[in-house]
Amino acid sequence: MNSLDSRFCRVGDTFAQKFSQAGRYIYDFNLPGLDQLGKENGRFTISVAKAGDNKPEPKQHFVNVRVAEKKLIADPPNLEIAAGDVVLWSTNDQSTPGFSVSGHSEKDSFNSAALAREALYSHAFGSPEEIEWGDMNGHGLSGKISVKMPATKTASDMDSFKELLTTGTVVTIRGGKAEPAQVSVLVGQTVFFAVEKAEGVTITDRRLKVEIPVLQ
Amino acid sequence: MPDILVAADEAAATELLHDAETTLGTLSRSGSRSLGPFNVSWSASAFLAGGAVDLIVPNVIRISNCELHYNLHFAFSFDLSNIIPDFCLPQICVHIPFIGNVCTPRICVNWPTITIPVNFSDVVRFTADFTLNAHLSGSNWLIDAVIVGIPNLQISVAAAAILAALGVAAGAILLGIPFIGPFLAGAVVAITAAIGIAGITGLLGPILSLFVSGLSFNIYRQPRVFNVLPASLPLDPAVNINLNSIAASVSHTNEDELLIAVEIS
Repeated sequence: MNSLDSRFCRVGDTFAQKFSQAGRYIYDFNLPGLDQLGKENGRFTISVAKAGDNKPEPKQHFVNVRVAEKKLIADPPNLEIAAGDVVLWSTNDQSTPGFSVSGHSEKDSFNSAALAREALYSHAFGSPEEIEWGDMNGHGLSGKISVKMPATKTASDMDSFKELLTTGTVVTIRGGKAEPAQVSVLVGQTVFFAVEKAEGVTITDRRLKVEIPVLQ
Repeated sequence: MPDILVAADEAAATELLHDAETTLGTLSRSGSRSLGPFNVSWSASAFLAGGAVDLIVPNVIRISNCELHYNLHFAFSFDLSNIIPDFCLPQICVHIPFIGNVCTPRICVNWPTITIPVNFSDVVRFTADFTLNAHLSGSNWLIDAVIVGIPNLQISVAAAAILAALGVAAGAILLGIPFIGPFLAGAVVAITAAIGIAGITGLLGPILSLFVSGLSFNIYRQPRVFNVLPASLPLDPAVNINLNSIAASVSHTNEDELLIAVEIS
């Protein structure tokens, strides 16, 4: 599976959140839609300390997501970071099922299935195709991505392709607007969807939209 | 001098052969074997048709241009990582003003184990010598034509076609694997090169040989107790004769003939 869907992060996807406010966050992996954990729930923690006066450069912290004893596990399970730092979740195991991450502190929350603020979802595209993406939470956000096959006939082509893989394309989301709305990348390249401020959006290939039955 | 002598010329013997082919019907075989990095499971069905009989003194039936019609289903399974190097997405760093610097981890994609199905049908013609074997089986006398040795099957064209079909099927299967696109053409070449014509020939030959090795056509069947007259009245019982022995041979008088000599009592 290599689907563009921030609600289900898989190999080739990352979710990152900047923690600007101090506090103790608890979080867990969850089903999309079940985004608010109870106060007692959440197996993993992020303790965010206030930034001092001589604030160092913000750091990035990696969390690897894997399956252990039939449960999704965060490695490391507990983090201590400073305000302004970024935590990035990803998996390097193809057998890890798609996951979303959601958590909260007393005053703040984050959710990869409802991207709201200073959050980032990245996706490496695995196949040549034209993708129209949208927000499955219904805020009207949309965009297009054209994924093309690179030329790899010669060694020189391949070297150029490998070099291109080290560069990312950024789509910035503010409110209900994505900028740029259309991007073109090559197979293997990564697009970063950076959410400055939004009302809890998803980045989802429209073809993956599931009609959820409504109880009468 | 036998009590009964039955003769069949080559045209009649050819008809006997064609009847025997029909009776033999469709044969099925299946199996699996390894072929370098590939595990190949296969199933095959085949039937025999056609051919012309040439009778050769004293005991040989040569069948020319006999057709082996076969259907093959192969499933080539292998770990793609054994064929092409794994692919790694490098670490990518971007600067986002309202987040800061963010880097993705380097992620390597392990290629999966895949199965490529290939179906193939063809006809191979062969010429082979058969010997006659008359024997009693239970209460029946049988005359079988039993193949001598294993005929040479010309399969080089079929092997090339199967390899080409494998390449096409591999392309279709690989297309669905994320990130393989840039390596697709190379992967197909690597897969077909890893097997090669020789590999397919080495696979196909033994499979088809299973259908002709030890091949036996039953061309004559007769109950040992032969009913000459059925019973008609209580005091008029059936008249039977016992076929004590049957022998089959090829003889040449005016023409080549298949002779069946029967001793009765």
